Amino acid sequence: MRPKLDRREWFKKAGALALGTSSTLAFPNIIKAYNSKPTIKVVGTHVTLQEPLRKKAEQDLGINIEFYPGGSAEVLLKASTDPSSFDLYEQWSNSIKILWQANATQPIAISKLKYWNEINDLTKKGRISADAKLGLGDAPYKLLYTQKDGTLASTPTEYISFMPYVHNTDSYGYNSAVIPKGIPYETESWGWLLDEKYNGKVALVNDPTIGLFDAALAVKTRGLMDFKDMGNMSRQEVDELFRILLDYKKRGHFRGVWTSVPNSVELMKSGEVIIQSMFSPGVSALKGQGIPCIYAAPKEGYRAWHGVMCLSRESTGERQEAAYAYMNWWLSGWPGAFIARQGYYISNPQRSRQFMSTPEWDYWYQGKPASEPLKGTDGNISIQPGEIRTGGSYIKRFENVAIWNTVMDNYEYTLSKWNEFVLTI
Amino acid sequence: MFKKLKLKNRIYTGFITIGLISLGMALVSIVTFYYANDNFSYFVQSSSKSHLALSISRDVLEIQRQALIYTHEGHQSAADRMHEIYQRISAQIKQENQQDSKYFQEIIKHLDTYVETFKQVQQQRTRQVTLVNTEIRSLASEAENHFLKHIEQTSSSADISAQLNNQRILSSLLLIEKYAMRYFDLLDSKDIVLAKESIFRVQNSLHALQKQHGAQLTAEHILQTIQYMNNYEQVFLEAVQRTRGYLILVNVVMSAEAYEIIYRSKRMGRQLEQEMNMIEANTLALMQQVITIMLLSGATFLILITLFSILISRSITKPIARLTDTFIALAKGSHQTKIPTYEIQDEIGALTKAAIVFKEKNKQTEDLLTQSKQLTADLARSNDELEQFVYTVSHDLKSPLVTSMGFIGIIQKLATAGKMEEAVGKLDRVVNANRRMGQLINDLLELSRVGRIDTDKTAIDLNNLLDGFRKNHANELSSSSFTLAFDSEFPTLYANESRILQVFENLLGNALKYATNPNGSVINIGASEAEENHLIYFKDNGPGIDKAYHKKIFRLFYRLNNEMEGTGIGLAVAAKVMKFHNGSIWVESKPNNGATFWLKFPKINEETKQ
Amino acid sequence: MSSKKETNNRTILLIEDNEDHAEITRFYVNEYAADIKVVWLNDGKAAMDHILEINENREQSYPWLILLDIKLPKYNGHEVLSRLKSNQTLREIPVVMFTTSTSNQDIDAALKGGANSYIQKPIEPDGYAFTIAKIIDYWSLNQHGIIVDNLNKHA
Repeated sequence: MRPKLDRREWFKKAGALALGTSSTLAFPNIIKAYNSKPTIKVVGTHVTLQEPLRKKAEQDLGINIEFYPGGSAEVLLKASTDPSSFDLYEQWSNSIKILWQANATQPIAISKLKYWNEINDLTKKGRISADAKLGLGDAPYKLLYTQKDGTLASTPTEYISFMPYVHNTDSYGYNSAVIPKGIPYETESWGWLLDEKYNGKVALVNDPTIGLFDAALAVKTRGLMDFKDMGNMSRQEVDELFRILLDYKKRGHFRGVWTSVPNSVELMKSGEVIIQSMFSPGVSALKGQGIPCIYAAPKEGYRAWHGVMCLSRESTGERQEAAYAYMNWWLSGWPGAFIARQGYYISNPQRSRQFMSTPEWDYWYQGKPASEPLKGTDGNISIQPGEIRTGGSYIKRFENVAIWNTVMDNYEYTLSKWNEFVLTI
Repeated sequence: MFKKLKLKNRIYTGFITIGLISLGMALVSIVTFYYANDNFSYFVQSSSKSHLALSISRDVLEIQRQALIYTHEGHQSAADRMHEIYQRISAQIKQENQQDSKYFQEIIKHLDTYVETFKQVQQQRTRQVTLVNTEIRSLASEAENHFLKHIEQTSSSADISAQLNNQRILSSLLLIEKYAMRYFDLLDSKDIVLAKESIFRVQNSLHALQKQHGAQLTAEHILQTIQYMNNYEQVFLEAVQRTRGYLILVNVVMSAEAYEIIYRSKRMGRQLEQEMNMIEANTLALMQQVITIMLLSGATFLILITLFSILISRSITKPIARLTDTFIALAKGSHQTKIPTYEIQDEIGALTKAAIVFKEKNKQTEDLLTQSKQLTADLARSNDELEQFVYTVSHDLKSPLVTSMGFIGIIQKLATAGKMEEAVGKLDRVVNANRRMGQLINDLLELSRVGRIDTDKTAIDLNNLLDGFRKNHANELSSSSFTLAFDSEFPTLYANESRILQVFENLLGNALKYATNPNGSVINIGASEAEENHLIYFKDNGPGIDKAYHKKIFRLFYRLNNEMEGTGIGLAVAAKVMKFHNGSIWVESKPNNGATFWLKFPKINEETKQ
Repeated sequence: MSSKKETNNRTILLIEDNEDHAEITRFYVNEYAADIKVVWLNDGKAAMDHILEINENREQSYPWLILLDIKLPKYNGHEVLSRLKSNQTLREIPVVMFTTSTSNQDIDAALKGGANSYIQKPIEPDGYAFTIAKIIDYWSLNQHGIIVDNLNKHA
């Protein structure tokens, strides 16, 4: 926060700016129809369906917004089988294929996206910079453009299957009060997850499209097996991977799996787990509660994910207009700044920069040390002065993507193996 | 401390103390057993909880198995079984009444989530089954039928390429079904892609055909086919979604919930086991402690009992022993044993008092014995005296009888011999003898009267008495040339006047007979005082009496000189009179130095004069 | 009843304090045995002196018999008896105790004391005659006369 401005003033200014910006472009129709406010239903997960965002959006856009947050599987199912139940669907890129296959969503017109040009190359081309690694698996750029034959590919067209907005690099979190702090990109490694030192205090995220890759990276880095293409494992590779994992599970290496961010926070907070797959908001929440959780920067690279905002097939007319307005609002700056406080990046960071204080921008995007205590999205201080964001700057981090959250061809096969893994005692 | 208590109180104290100690021990045991009992009930509780935890783990695995069976095979029985087990687990947990156990609460939460999710699964699967088995099939066959009809219709007009095209379309149609079914069977998502590709191709071909045939009748079938194809595609995709949906639910969501339940159950089980072990260890330790305490307190108890018994018994038996010794001594007749002091008012106190009384009685008995010995001695002496008396009397009385008879015999002899004058001349001897006998008898009578007759005692002024006495005997004195002098004043005696007079007369009589002094016979009567007695002396200056005879002269009829007159009874009477007055008479004399007769009269207490 | 015995110089020493009794005794002794001389002493001491004197001086002959009464002034009969019998020589002389009393004590004492015989003074008119006769007869009959003679001879 700028020392010279007090908060309320700042918000007012920001709000005015946002309102001003959005109202002139997005909703001429909406403003005309002031008799009844349109309502859009947004389905997604807790990480992006946060109450402050909803309120701000309603305020800025003058429409009713209903959030329907839930667990990702549940949400996905609902979205894929009942498109009329939502207008916008917020999730991650690993559900794009499914949704697209289910014909639950409609292509989004690039022309209607106000800030399309500001969106960086990470989503459009797959690399944040020229030197960046191209991660394995479903990198979003591969799924971005809708093709004439109904498939999704990286060849640019007029339509996209999702609007890029939030994204991040994920890794694992560890309690630095118990595990000595490592050196980003040097000593921190996915292999820590399978270190016998931590037997019984390790957890994975309960999702075969995410947690499986954490495990696979760990297994590979420990030299226990190798993959031809980790992003699309063969049945034998899946068998072998699970054989190794089951072995560990039987030895009691894993405390279990977590199904939601609050769940993951609780596990580390209670001390049941000291190292686990983590999502960034979980890390912030733990730090805010006084647990020195470090989000590692593994030398093998991150597991990245890309948020997708999809438009329901059934969203038409006024609702569709309102949905586009909401999508544009997300890239209008304030939401990006908001979401940055839980460590998420936005596809057009420059616009959000003005809504963040310099210390915040420095810390979250530049990878510089925090010059003052920084608060998270829940209002608690999650960053102490002197802390550096593990992995460094936005650019640096996204230059080191090992793999993207992916739905493999053998997805169904991994499900039953995953079931076996989860239930093994 | 004990010494202040009564006997029975001491015993009570002892018993009560022992009782209290035993009570204390009993209490310790009871408390311990309650505690152990508590531990045991907690143990049992924990055990049943642990058992429940185990059975839950087992059951949950079974549930998941059934769920998977249902998922894969679609057997309703598996779903039913799953619900059955769920009900049972819920019931069991409720039965345990574990509101306080957060474990069970968590488990129930997860279980409920699980079952909810499963219900969704059931929904999805049922729908999927319907879709796959019914709708897809029907749609597929409808599409096929329609297209076949189309082929029929156009068979005549179609050229080879068109026919080939139709065949291609048909085979693609069939392929779609194949891929779709293969997907639902093997769940390889490649099949979805393939199926989708085929659908796309078919749709494109159909659209092309549609364009070709325009508004012709034959187009009707194509239109129908296209419509059915669209529906087919939708249904297929929905089925795929639902399949994936419930697969995720079962394999990811439900298994996670199940795992949590199992994990928690196992952890609870482990914790309970730990607790149970701890309880066991605690109880054992406690038991050992208690046993140690019991042994210690048992030993202490024994020591205390021994001490108490010794103390109490000592405090009881010592006095009893002492008393016993005392009583034994007393029983032997001692009147001087020291009686041990005992001031408490109990049985022993009573015995002590009895002992005191016993001692008194002993003393009394002793005194009585002494008295009776005295009396017996006196009696013996009296008897002796009596014997002496009888002897003396019989001898002395018999003597004149012998004389009498003897002379009578002589007289007879002389008479027989004709010596009549000699014979008569002896008659005097007979008369004298009998006369003497009479005298003796009279004297005896007189002696016997002393103490029976004239027993009144009064206060007698001796001065007056002796004056009278001197006057009365003046003639005798002068005719015998005796002088009688009084040496002092005389006290007043408590006595019988005539008897006292008698004593003096006897003494005087004796003096006149035996105590003559050629140089002038003098009799002195005087008085002297001792502490408790009056002493009167009667002194003469005659020849005196040899010591050998000082006692004998007081005997009945004893005479120093038989030629003298008298029967020899005077001093015996005097002695009896003095005895009657509780006094005594004795003589002090040396040959040629006169004789002094002492009379001792005990002083009588003026206040108890009788 | 009576018979006169012929012996020489027999003396009966009569120790008796009652004059009458002595006279009676003398009468009957003389009546029965005229040769016997009666020496009468009326107290024990005088009697002892007399005897002792005889014993020492031997001027007179020892008494042939001693008649000893118990009740005597100065020394009584028992005392005299004991003195007599404790003397080696004198005890040969027979002593007949006689008295008026009937006490058993006296009898025992007399016999224990060594009296050769004991008789009570009679209270029948002819009693004395009878008694004296018996005594003289008895003592005449046995050998003691020889003893006394011997005694006398050894003067």
